[in-house]
Amino acid sequence: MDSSRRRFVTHGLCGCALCFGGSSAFARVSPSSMTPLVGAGYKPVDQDERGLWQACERLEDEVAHSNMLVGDAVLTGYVRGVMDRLLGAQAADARIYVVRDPNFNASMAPNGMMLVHTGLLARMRNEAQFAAVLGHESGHYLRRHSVRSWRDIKAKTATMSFFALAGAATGTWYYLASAINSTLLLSLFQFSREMESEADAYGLKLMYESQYSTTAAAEVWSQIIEERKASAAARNKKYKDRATSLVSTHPPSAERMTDLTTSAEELLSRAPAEARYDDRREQFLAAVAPHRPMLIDEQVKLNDSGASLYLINTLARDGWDGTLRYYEGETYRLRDESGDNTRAAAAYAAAVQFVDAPAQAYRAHGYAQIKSGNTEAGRRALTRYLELEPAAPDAAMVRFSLGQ
Amino acid sequence: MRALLVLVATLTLGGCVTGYTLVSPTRVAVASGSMKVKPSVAWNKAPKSTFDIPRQENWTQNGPLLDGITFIGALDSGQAMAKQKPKDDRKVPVFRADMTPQDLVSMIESYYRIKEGATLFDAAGVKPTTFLGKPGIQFDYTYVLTDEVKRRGRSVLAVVNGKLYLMTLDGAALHYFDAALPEFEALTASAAIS
Repeated sequence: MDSSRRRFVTHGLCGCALCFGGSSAFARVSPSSMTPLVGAGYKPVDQDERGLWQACERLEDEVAHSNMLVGDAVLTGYVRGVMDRLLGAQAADARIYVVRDPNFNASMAPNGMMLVHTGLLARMRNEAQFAAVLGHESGHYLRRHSVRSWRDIKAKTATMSFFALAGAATGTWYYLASAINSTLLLSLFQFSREMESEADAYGLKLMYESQYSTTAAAEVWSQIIEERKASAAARNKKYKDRATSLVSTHPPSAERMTDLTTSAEELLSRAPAEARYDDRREQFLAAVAPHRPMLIDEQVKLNDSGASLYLINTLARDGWDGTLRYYEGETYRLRDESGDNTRAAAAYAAAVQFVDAPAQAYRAHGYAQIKSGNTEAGRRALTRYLELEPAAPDAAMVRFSLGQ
Repeated sequence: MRALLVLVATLTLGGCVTGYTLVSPTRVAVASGSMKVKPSVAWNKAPKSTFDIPRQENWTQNGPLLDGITFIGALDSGQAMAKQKPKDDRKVPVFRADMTPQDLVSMIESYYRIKEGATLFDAAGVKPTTFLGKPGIQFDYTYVLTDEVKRRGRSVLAVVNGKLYLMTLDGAALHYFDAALPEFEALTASAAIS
């Protein structure tokens, strides 16, 4: 239990990681103006780009052998299917890795390595929302933003390059460099904000051409903003739009939302009358359902109650089930504020009413009932847990509790 | 600038080396004197890290990345097993004297996920045991931090007079955990409240 481990670096210069954070006004980029700068089978042509690709290939070798990969060919195949729909033949250049990380994130490196974090899958309500994020990352790839960033950094100063290289090893070069030269950074990140706007526009274009509902992109960002507000409120903190920071890499949230909505309307106004755009919710749920308990579990266990409850309630807009009610209870139990014992107990009691309630819901319900004095009801629930999971890792402990 | 970097590196390296002290294989008080244990071999007492609380002590044989034993003693109800600020976005649940086994286990799991950055954490076994002469819990688990090393852990704990007493062994799954386990088992068996 020693907190001195080094961080796993998956991004840095190699990929344009999706983060949400942007103040000065930028002109909206029209989706129809976006054209690819790389074609199918693209290979780097100059020294800068070859160097960047080599760095990415080394990183990809680490990722490909990572313990963090979700080793499910069906899920990875589903993500590939969404990429195929978005990019057509060019999707063959993308290599997809679904990685365990509860944070909302995805990235696509210039060599085609695409990382999809489980925290992204946890937060999406349908395939169109998921495609909005993959489309955004594909936009970075198709516009060669990584190599453009790299050249911009190199052109600005040798000092910056030094710190960029130093930071690439630690994942913290943004912060190190920020302390050194904030004026330069402002200029540098201005460039990056333009790229984020391009990626937004390109993502929408890809969604439109793939007949996804284009309003899903603004929905995604809205959900993320609301989740962060909920997270801050739960800690009695003031929500700060990280995108309004001078050194933010991303456009301001409100501006981004407006641009996405305007662009979506622009695209739809040109759509043929017979065109149909949908969110493909059923397909997304079918692919993600087997993993949903794990996806929610890793978020809830971070004990960020505002974000967790927002996520659970957002998913519950499509209907409550035993898993969502159980994790609602778990969120309250871990938060442990005044009245949370009662809230957790109510959620567990609701969870076990569903036929799909996870076995752990019976264990949690049992202990909650015993804690509140309903010993017999609690014992029945613990017994039910053992019936459902006789080989559970904690079966011996639960049997011990029943014997007391 | 170069001089500054050299200074920082020197201070950092210096801090790593000078913080360790030798623990002799005799009966010793640990975790601010809250428990006594008797090691059979000498250990290195590690310096406190960022999240360590006052009533905590860490030992290692081969460096904290490979193996380590943590002692937390006499933690009061309402206190957390890690140092944290009220407005931290992610907080380890505080210890409560009336926690169920399920609560205690998930508190420990939260510590690993929140303070250690464990993305993968799997419970391998939770069973009753005797610790400090009282009914306790033995919690075995595996986890992977951001350095990608597979590790195993065992926490042995008991709540005595409303206070939490905890001993934890962490080690790389390859060799180090198994190598330290017999000594850890002997240490937990020797443990007594001071």
